Amino acid sequence: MSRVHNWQIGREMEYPYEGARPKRQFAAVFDTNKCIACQSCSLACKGAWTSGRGQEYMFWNNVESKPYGFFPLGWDVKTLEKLGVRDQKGPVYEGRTLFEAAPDGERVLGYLPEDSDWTFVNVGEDDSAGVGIDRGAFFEIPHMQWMFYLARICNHCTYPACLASCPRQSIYKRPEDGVVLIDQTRCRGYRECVKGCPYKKTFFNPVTKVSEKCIACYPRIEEGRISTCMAACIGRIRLQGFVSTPENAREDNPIDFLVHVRKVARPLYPQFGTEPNVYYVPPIHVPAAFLGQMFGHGADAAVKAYRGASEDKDLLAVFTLFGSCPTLIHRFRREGDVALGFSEDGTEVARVPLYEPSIIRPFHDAARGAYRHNTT
Amino acid sequence: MRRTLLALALVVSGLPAAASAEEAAAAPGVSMVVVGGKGPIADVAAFAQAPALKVVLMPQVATTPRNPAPATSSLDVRAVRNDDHAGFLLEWDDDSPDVRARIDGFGDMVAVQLPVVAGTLPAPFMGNKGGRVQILQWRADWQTDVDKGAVTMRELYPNAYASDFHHEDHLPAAEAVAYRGAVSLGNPMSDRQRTSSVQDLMAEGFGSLTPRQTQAASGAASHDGKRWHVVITRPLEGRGESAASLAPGTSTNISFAVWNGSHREVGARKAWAAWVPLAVVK
Ligand code: SF4
Ligand code: SF4
Repeated sequence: MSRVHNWQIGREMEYPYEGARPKRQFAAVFDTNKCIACQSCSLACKGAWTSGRGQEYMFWNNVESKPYGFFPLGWDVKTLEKLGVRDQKGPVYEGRTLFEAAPDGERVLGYLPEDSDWTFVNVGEDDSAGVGIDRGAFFEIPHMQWMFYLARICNHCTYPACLASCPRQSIYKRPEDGVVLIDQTRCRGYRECVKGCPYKKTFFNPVTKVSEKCIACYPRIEEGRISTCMAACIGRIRLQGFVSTPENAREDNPIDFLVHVRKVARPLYPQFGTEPNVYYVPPIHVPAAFLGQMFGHGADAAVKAYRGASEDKDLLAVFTLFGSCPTLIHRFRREGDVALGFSEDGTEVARVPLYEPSIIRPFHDAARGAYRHNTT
Repeated sequence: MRRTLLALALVVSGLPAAASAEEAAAAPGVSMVVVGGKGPIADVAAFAQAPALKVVLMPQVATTPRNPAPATSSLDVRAVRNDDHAGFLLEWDDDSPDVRARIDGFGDMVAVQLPVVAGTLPAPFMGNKGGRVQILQWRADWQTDVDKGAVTMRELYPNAYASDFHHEDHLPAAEAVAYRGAVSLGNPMSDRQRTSSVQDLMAEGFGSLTPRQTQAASGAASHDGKRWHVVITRPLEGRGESAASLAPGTSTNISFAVWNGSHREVGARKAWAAWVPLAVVK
């Protein structure tokens, strides 16, 4: 085991290989408050990458309803249960990561999902059920019951558990962008990665007999374009780019700005120890205890910062750039009430007003002799 | 990690290799009975005159990941040769044959290992740097591919809803390759026109297992409800690079490994045996 630094848990940790950060690290911020579970992302990915034989059950991108939805069934609660529920309550995580908690003879604490765990994706997960919900219950505001949609892809972790699990070193992390790939010529289908990835984002293809995973649409990234799930997102909840370590954060990098400067986006289950690189704006209506477990110690502050976005024009500027163009935005700038996004070579690729013009039309339209209702 | 592993391999392999050098000479070995004919030996009947050696299997514990209690504790081995081929009959108890790899399920496997340089004793765990081994691995799911054709999702999951539309069927060949994953890249794991249930491999230690350029081995198998009866056969002469020679009148060493699919044994999670002498009778 080597000692590597994981900034998300604020300390050094054990990892089977020496740490080597890529030149830049693929990253994305997903705003859970805006996801409408339309599944455009899931289908965009499916059509692009997993329409082949043996891939029928795969969703490299999936969207599940929390807290009762999972793909595969129970993926996070099963791992949390094995790890011993241990939240990251401060900047330094005091519990064990999945590498440190690996049982004797294993490289990572993990489990292999059963076939049935992959079935019935999304079925029934929005239905109200369980303790505390009485017959005849209905939604009140503030929420009596709560839920939110969690869109998930491979996190292209800095310390991938899939990579650590593979005894053949068939998995590698690209030095140019941190994208984690399974070498399709080297894999022998052991499924150690499926067992090891806590996010369950590697998939065994029983027809090709080797494992496959999200490739972050790297051919698009190489052309400066955003990945297909990001481009397809009609909720405009996603912003893709590259994340720096906190000490190298650049204020004009929109991802760094959200993650490190305003700290409005948090990693998913940082306590697992893989340093995942999809960051989430936590849902603002969900109990703090739940958010703390899922997004670590900064979840409260993230919610607070997000709630204050209307007063924070720079933050608003970055949020307006979400889903604004098919090009990877490397830098942003706000000019008055306009947000500007720039590609790697400095070309302006997005220009979005912070506020949409509002037009108030009178209740009675004299020209047409009609009354307007807000439902029309 | 690499360094630790290597160090571990040296420590662990150093001992058994040295011990086995003497042990191997004294240990009861496998001696090939000569049968008539030429060509691959696929029929169990060919082994009627060959005595069985009971080989004790132990859990692989030298590297991670490992299963401390693999399902198989012994293997019965018989060996014969004809004019140009060697055959190994491997039989072991397994009352739950696993002949297809599902998403969460593994196939049964058995392997024989030979030092590439006859008579040497590389580390028994898949060899070591400079101590290359040839490994012939029979895979139950490959046997099913050979006997019944390539696996389909319909066969594995008859009740699952699955679309029958696949891009690869509707695109020009050059564009379809992108939709076939490892099949297009020629990974032998993914071969859809498989002709052998035995993969011919070489290794120089953990994690280095690599298919040989020349695939010269084949196999046959049957399961009687309680036991597997598997034949692995290959030419006596070593074909291609990194092939162990089995010239009549020479002696070398052989070792074995078994994987029980129902117990999720795969890769390093296996039961293995130390080297035993192998006499290729003249
Ligand atoms: S999310 Fe899973 S599959 Fe993706 S890099 Fe991390 S450990 Fe590997
Ligand atoms: S496309 Fe966007 S809004 Fe729709 S489900 Fe996916 S992440 Fe949510």
